[in-house]
Amino acid sequence: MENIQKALEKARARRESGAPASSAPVGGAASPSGGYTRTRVIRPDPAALKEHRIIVAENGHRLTDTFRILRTQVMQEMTAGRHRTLAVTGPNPNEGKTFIAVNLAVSLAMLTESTVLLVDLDLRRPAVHKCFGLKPDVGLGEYLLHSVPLADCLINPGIDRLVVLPGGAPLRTSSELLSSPKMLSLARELKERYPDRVIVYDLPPLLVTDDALVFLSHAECCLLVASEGKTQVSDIQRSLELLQSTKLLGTVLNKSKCRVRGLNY
Amino acid sequence: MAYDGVNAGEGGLSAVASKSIGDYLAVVWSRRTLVLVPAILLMILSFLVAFLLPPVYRSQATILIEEPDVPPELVLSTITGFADERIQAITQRVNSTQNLSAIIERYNLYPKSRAKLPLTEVVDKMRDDIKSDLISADVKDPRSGRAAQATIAFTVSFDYRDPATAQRVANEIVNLYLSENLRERQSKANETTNFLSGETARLQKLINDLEKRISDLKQTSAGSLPEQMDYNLQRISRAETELRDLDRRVDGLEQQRIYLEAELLKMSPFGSYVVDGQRVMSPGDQLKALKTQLITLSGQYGANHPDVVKLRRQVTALEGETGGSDDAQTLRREQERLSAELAQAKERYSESHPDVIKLQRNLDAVQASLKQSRGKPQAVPTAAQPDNPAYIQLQAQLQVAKSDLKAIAEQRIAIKKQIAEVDKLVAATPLVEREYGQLMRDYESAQREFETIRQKQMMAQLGETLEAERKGERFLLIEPPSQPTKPIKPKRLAILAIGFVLSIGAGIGTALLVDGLDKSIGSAKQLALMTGAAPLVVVPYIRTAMDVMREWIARLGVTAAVLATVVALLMVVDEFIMPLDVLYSILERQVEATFIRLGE
Repeated sequence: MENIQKALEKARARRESGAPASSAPVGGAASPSGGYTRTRVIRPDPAALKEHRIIVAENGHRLTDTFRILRTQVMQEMTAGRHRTLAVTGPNPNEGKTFIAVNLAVSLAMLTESTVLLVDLDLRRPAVHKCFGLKPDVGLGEYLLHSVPLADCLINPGIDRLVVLPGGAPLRTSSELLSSPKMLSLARELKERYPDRVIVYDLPPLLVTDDALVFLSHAECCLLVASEGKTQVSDIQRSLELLQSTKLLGTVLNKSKCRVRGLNY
Repeated sequence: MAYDGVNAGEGGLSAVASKSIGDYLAVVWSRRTLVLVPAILLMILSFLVAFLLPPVYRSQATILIEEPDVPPELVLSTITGFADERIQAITQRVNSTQNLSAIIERYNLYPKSRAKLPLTEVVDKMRDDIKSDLISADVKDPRSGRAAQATIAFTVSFDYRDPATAQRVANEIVNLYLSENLRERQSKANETTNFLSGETARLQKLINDLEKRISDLKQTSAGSLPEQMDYNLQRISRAETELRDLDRRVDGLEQQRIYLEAELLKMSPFGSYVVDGQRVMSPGDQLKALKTQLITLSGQYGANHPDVVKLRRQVTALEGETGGSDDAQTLRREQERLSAELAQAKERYSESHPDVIKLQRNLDAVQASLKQSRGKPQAVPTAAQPDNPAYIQLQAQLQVAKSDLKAIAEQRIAIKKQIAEVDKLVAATPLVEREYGQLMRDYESAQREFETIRQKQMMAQLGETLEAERKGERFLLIEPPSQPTKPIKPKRLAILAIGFVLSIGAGIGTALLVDGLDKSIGSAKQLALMTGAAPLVVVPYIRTAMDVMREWIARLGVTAAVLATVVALLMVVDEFIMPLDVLYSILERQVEATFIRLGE
């Protein structure tokens, strides 16, 4: 937490000093050109973090290592294949996709070699901002519909090298929006903007809407989240079928009741 | 990482190909509440059952099957069949509805059941509570020398919830057994003798019947009986011989007769004596000649011709001498001759021909003489009297021969008749023989049967005596029913043990069943099998404060529900089954008793 506190102070100081935000150490993606000159920094609400189980923000949580393992495996795969966009999805709602996506993004952000952009693509029930306790006015939905400038939507939730693009207000026409040319160009742009930026997309459930399916072609790899005791075997099967054309990095078994080893190592 | 195609599994356990004990244990552990709840419930239930079931006491008696006093070689008993069969049969009779309902009434058994159910059903229930068991021993079969099992005794017992009553009723039942056995044996022996007496009577009657028929047959077929056959044949042959003899004699006699007749013809009946070298006719012959002449003349010349008158005078004179009269026979012969001649003449000539007229006149004269002679007394027919001694001798011989022949002919007829009769008898003999033979055979076999039955009857009577004096095989009560101190049922510890095992089983079973039905991902292994590689990470469930709170609420809720159900159950029990304090004291007592016994 200390690092973050320090960073936050620094950023605030810089902002107040009006200096243009520099790239790297302090939160995310600020670039000389393209319109993202600076990103808002909003400190996350610890209570919210705790409630939404964003454990990586705490130092020394027993599961921090678990996410590190996930992070490393993911990074290795992506580096080997030169991928930079990762979609996180699951068959059904409430399986912990957002939980995994956020924790993974934060964990990735702690690696010093890269920056991470976390995009909330669940336009019907956007949840990423809730994890940080943010209450943004504008998000991806507004960008797509009302052409709100992207820079206004991006947020740095007080964690170095992490930028969040929230979903915005909940929308019903998510599917159409996600397949619109504007979204496609955005995706391309986000990818090409910074060569060493990892983009994590938090997708809606695979089997409930077609949003995820529509967007998957624009993600280079994906991660399937399943919860123990909840996700039906048939759902997994179906999801695997749907994910055949995408590169599936692996699965994550969430909400497991099994003993996890070495918790206090 | 490469992922294979979908490998369809079903849920938790079944997706794993080889199920190790570890997998089962994991399932049980992960669903431990599901295991515990039914297990505990069943344990409580078995506990209640074990200690609340009412005890049942058994009073048992042993009856020995005692060997007969008189060995079977001397007197064979009429009671056959193995002891076990007889015991079964007696059990059936002892357990009759009549006997049992009497006992139920007398000792006021099963009061609650009797109030609800009809008596026949209560009797059925009682039958189930009466048990009999055979006790066998290894013996050597006296006939074959091989080892065999023989029933030497049996036990009879009665189960009831009150020990004193159990003993009393068992006593009753034992008495029934003993008396039934006795009664049955005696009646059976009696029946056997009765049956055999009936048989002897029947056979006796049959024998009498046959005797009568045989004698009847002998009477009706007298002469045709097979034993008389020889005699009959002899008679026939003798008769035939006689017949042949007679035939021979007849032949001889016939020859003689022919000879004699021929000789007689040759000879003159009148002895001719010579006078002056001339044969003189006897006066009879003379008369005859004159008469014939008279007839001829009277026919020729008429009755009034002087020659005719003269001749008539001569005839009359001669008649006076000889004393002979008209020979009716001669006249008749003359009549016949004349009639024949007349007929002939009439054919040849007409009525008015002189020959015809002459003949007619002769015939009339003869007929008139005949009429006359009829009126006269018959004179001695000396005219026909032969006086030639040789002739007379021959005549006599001829007579003898003729009368002999006649006699023989009669004899022959008689003999032939006899032969025919005997022949008939002989002809009838085969039929008679058959019938007779049949009757004799029947008679003999009836006699033999009678002998056999009579022997058996005597043996049966001895057997009857054996039973009457109780010297045959009998039942001996060697262990009378005692008052039981410990119940035979229920085996409380056994029930507890079984209950324990069952409840564990039920618990585990429920868990496994639920798990089997669960089609969600149960483990990382399963996910790995499906996707072809293990999950990148397994993230355990993170419990937030909210989760903790929710769990507590849930637990409270369940506990409240369980408590409510238990209270409701207790109220129901208290109301409808048994007041709870009574229940408690019973339980207490039973548990104490069980543990005391355990300690013994």
